Amino acid sequence: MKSSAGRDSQTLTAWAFLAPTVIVMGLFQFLPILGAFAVSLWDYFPDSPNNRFVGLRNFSRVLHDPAFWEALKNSVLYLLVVPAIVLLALGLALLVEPAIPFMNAFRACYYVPVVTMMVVVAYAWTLIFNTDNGLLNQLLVRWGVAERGVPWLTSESTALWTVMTVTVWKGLGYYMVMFIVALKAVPKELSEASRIDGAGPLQGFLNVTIPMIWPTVTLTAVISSISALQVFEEIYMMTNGRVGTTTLVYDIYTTGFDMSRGAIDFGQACAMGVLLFALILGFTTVAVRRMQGVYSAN
Amino acid sequence: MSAPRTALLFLLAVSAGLFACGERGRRPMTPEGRKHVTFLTMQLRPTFDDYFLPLIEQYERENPDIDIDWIDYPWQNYETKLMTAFLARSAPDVINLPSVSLPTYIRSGTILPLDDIVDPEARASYVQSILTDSGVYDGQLWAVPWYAAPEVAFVNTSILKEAGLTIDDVPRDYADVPAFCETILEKTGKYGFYPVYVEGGKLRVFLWERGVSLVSEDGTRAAFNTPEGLAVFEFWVDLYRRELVPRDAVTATHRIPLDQYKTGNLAVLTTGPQLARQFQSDTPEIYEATEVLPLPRWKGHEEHLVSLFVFAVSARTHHPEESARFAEFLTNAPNQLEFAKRTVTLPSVTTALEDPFFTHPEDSLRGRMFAVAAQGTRKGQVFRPVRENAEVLEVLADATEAALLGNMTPKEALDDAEERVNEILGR
Repeated sequence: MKSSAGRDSQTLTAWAFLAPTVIVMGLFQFLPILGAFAVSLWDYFPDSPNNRFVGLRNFSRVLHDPAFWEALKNSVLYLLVVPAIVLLALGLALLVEPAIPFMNAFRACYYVPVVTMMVVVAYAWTLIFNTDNGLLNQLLVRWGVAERGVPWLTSESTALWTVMTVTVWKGLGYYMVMFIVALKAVPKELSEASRIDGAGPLQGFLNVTIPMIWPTVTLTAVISSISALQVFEEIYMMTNGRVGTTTLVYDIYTTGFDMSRGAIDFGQACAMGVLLFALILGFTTVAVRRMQGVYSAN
Repeated sequence: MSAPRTALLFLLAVSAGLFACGERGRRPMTPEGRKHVTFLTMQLRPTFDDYFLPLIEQYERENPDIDIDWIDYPWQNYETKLMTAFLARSAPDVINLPSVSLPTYIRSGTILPLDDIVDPEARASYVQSILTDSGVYDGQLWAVPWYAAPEVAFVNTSILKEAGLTIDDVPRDYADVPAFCETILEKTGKYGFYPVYVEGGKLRVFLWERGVSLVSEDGTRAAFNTPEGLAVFEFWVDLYRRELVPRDAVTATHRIPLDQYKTGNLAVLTTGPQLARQFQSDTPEIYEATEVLPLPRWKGHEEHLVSLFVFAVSARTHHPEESARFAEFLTNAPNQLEFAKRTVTLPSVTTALEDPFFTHPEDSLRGRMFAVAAQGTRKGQVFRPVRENAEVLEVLADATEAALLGNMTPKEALDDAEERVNEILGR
């Protein structure tokens, strides 16, 4: 048993090593977050003598703005990338998890989009989805699938879905790696036991593998949901927030930081940020509880 | 060495590193007792070091009691960084701003009125319409103009040749644009023009070019829903609906037409002359084939719209007079002329625009570019943001998008926009 002095020394050491991270995160993450909460209650401009406390007025303006509700609707709709990401990433992981020839090359290929900057990815896909001379439309027309170019990024009925496919494509590799790790951790004895008990491959997968990797599924779903609710770069690069693709973060950007519009409103942008924070917190709390309950109830 | 001591030393080292990252507060005086004046520019370092550094040296030589410190932020997040500097109470004394941003800083009280500190002679030297449009609000002067960027039309003569046209066939009048686009598209499969429809509420520019005001003189009501306003709106919507311009134009920002021009897919690019550097370096063969013309105009409307950068003085400065003097120095005729020659921008000082460099340009694309742009600057007008500018521009963008996509007729879209703008201005 360790002496009290030994424990104190260990605690002190732990705190000393943790302190730099805590200080940096406190200064550059938590303090600004608290600042945003405060600014949301002010008519605010940095170092302005005209700053004044306005209470909940910024929230009232946001909630009475139809553009906010449109952006909120799109952000919630964007969550549809989550099941696509989870299913496709799991599928990819199942394909590249066993020892097959060129396995590492396949894994690397799928991971390349993850390490490519979103600005580059979005620009490349904008060229591919170009209505008049994009690669995709040229192929579709040549193969007779479409008579003329489909307005992928310039029609309200397709633009948001098109951008969502890019988000899914870029994120797949990251979540695939998480699933590969989870699949490798499933004890082989369990799969063998289920096979001996007469379970087919699908039954074994659904009743053994999925429950074992469920914590990873939950984690993947939560992380990709948060990313989906915070989507910005794809929208900014591919549609400029037009044709029904404005999302909450894009709206925050244009309200609080886009000086080309000749006016910015920090207070209102922070109020939107606080509402987004509440949305993400509420959504992830509910999602985690429900997903954790799926197998713990059995 | 014990673990806690190692950890403590590690912590101290990290803390020291963090403090080292902090910026020294801006000092009003140097240790030698000279007045310290800082000035901020947008993405000019290191490209223009050889212009600014000798200039600073010259100014310090002529004013031995002044010490000039040059700061430069990249254009990405320029104003976000500037606001961070305001937040830290370390904003530069002399600040370079796009004129459209000025009202935000005026309203916030973070910049100084300059009426009493700008030398009247210097004030009289600027192109007066530009000075007033860009820097005077509520009868007070808030900034002095620096360089202007009027748009010109770059023409890819190879595409013209392919279409059996010459430079004389390029429209000088907007009314001729649809026929020109039709010919180019039919003969080459490429596009004649690429209007940017929604970025920055471009409808405002379309209306302005035909002399239609956005809001009433007192700024309290929409003024664009007139037969003339509808006619110009219908013209641009019709161009799109007939697919004479790219369908992606509904979401395009200004960089998309530039890319299309650079890749030889666009006959006429309307943009600032400074962007010629991009296709000169990226696709020299396109630059070789390029000719420059003034922007098309509507008959009877000869004014040119110019984007302008200005210098304002921070309200936190310890040296308002010295800061204003330095802004005057940077924007005087010889210095603006020299800067313009290096950047392909235009000066905002009358005598600089009358220099033979602009009036008798060299016979090259660059020379003609300057001549055309200078012509535009002399007839230049600068947009003044209206009240609730961001929201009003958003309404115009929505109206344009609705009409382009066929969700509303141009008349319905304009009626709806008028109603929404009146509601915004009536608050």
